[in-house]
Amino acid sequence: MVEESRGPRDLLPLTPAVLHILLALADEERHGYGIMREVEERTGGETRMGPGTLYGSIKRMLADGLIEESDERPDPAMDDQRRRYYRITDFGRRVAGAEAERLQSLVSAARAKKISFGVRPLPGGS
Amino acid sequence: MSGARGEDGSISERVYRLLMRAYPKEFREMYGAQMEQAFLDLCREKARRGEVGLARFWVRVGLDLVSSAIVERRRAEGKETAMRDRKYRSVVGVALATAFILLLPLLTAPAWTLADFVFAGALIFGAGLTFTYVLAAKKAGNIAYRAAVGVAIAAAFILVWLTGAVGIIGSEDNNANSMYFGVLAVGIIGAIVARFRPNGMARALFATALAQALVAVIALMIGLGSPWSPPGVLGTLILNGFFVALFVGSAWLFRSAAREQPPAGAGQEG
Repeated sequence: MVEESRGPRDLLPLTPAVLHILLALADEERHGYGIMREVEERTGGETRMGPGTLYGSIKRMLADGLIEESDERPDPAMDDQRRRYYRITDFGRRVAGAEAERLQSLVSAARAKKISFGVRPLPGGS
Repeated sequence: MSGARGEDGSISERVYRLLMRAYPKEFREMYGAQMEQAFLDLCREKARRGEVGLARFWVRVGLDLVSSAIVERRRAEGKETAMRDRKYRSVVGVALATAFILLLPLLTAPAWTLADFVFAGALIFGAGLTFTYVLAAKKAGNIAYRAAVGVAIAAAFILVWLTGAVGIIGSEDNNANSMYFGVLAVGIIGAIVARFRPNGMARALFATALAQALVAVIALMIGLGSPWSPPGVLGTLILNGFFVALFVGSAWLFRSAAREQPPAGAGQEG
């Protein structure tokens, strides 16, 4: 509904928290804690999102139509009445893609300016 | 669950619940339970990993809580201020429009008395405010709803104006004209009962049209306003028919607005 009046680029740049949440939901539906775990694992513990930042971002992402609440409970073992599962919308995917493109062009610009990379090892790297 | 949490977890939970009061009430109501659950999961994870350093854990959680609470409070205050500003702008806008409209009789109809200006000003201002209030309360997005409100208020406005200025049944001094305030009361009560929802508003406006027709029938049957000059039997019929048409038109627009509306619960934010 919201996406009809706005294009994906209208929401850029995304905050790091919003981009991380979109990436966490890109492959499967997750609840809040599941999102926090995925972000922490994917970034090798570098980004640890707290409940306040997470749900503040979720609130705005729901309003912007980037994610939606799911009725399904994909993780019954961990289920709890208070848990709500979220999934990325098509609009959210397009916004995440647009943000990735934007960051990629920044990286390209940095490379062109001979900015050195590899200050820190990638997660899982030797 | 409390077993898995352990002593440490239950104390932390209570402390965290207390600290969550830093968030605005609306935010707490929406996400408080989920945040608490996420916090408990963090505590459980910490215990499972056998991590030590309660202080470091709380510093991390505390920083997140303080920074996000400040953001949410600022946003909530910004929203309230914006709403207050919008209300203020609406009232000032309607007042300016009223003053502008009253300039016309001031310049072109010098026969108007102060009472005429007060009556006209109150009527225009009231109609304008009602229009903006109803639209704001309903957050009316569809054109049919806006048009329906506009037609209903225009009809009520002209009805009061005509009744007060020249009278529809006989002259303006004829007490029979006060029946038209009953017609308006039907509409107002109907709108309140319907809480401005389009389907209910359609029914309220149909009832108002019916009341308008009833007044005309009563006036003609009993012979109120006779010897019918002005506007005469035909004039009374035409005038009342005009208002019946406006109220029915508004009801029809409300019905269209109800059909355009998504089913309950669809497209809700948050």
